Amino acid sequence: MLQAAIFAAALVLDSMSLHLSVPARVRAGEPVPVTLSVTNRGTTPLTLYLKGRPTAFDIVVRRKDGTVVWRRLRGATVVMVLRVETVPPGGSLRFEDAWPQQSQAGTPVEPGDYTVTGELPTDQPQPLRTAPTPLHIDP
Amino acid sequence: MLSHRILVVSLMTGAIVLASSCSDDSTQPSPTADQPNAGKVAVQQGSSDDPVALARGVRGFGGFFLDEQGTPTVYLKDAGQRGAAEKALTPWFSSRGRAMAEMRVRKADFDWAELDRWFTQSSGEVLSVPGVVFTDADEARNRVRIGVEHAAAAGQVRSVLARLGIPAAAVSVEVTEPIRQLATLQGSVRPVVAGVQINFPGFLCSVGFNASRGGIGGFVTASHCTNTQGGVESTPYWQPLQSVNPTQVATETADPAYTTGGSCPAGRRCRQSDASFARYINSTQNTLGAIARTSSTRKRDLTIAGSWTITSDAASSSFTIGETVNKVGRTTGWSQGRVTSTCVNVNVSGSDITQLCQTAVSATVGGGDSGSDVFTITGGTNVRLDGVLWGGSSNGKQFIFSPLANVTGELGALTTH
Repeated sequence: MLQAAIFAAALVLDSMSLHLSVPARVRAGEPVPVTLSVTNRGTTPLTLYLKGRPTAFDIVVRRKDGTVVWRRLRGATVVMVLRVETVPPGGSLRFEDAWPQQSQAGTPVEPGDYTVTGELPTDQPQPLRTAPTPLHIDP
Repeated sequence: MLSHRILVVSLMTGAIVLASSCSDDSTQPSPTADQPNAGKVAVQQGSSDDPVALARGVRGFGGFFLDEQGTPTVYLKDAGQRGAAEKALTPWFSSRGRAMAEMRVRKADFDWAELDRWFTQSSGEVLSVPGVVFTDADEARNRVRIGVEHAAAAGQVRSVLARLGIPAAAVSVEVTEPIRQLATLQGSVRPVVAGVQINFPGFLCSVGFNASRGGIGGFVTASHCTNTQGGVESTPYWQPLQSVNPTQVATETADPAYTTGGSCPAGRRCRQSDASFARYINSTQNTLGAIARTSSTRKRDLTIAGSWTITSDAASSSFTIGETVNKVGRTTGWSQGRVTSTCVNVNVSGSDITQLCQTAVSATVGGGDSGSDVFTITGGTNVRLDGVLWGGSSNGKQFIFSPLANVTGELGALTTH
């Protein structure tokens, strides 16, 4: 894996930040590690209501033109339980997975520029979502 | 205007839901000998926010309020006391930047002190009369005002007042609508009905339906809404939350283990239902056959408007593609949609579990809806119980449920209504 730098995107809402971390560059064919983390930046405990058991977090990979190439939870059946998680001040929750550099159909993707977005479903209609993070796949 | 004090009984829950919005204090301190000019105190002091407290020392004062046009209005038995009233009410007018000349005077029939005493004297007994909604010493009417649901209650109230020696002319008894507490699917609901929130350690789910299993009363929810999916660990449940009401309502008593082999795919553990049973404890009130009903299928409409009544149970584990079913759960409330797949085997994301012969429905679902009742409306508010919701698509547009026949096949016979 060519890891020149770790790109990151964060969503900051009051005392909470949602952070996505992916390598800036990778070689073609290598799984891309992705880490989504929620951090309580406030001074009081933060209670989160998270969907699924295990927690159902999503990773969305798009081409430069915005076309979705792969979505971690596409087609997945998730149990509809809500996990009640209290994060102490300064504490974090981390969710990790890897994108296999494949399309949803399971075929390898072309080298080039992509973006990665992290989503964390809660009990609200829309999930918490990070800004897109750039990812370059070298030939 | 109910600004002085009001006691309200909830006729829905039998509990007091709103008590005393008292804006003054009927136990005013008496002047003492060591206070300068103690015997000459004509106007008692009070907060500038509380005109009744300010003016209650004015002779013949009977109440103060803003009329429908917002005009400050004072009740006085003797209009000649206007000057004393103006002096007493100066802090109120000053703090609001209003001119004293705006104030109107109405003829009072009763002193405020009398009304307050009669209110205090009668309130306890009156509120214990069935059908009474509220009692109030009403500043805007110069009367004690009592709200009742029906004429029969009015008669009983008048009897109580007569026995207490309170003049009938000083009391206005009115028929009014009962005041109900607005319960939501995520709030405390007693008796417990299907569709409301339950809490077990670290998680939230929904009650599937109340049932009797082997003569024991309890509720069905999802198997994964227990400490461990498959197997009994005596999971404790609270409603709506342990932090809100720490009295445990139920304990898990049935949750068959997931098994391998047979029709179960290699490397997977299977069951035909994601369902468990918990028995009620601590005399938890519950209603067999009742499902919480919200007024619409709009998202986030979680206010309970009534109930659906289970009158029959689906006998088959198969449903017709295209038929319409419903669910009520704590997160997305009431949703409705068409069956899109029937008797499908479903792998559960992030686990080695496969649920066999399940039903998929194109309808809204959200985290926390696990365990929800699934039903078909058969007429009016009568429904047929179809099963227990446990999962769905990550985008929340499709839910999966275990047919009731599969649930009873694994948990044993259940009386649901």
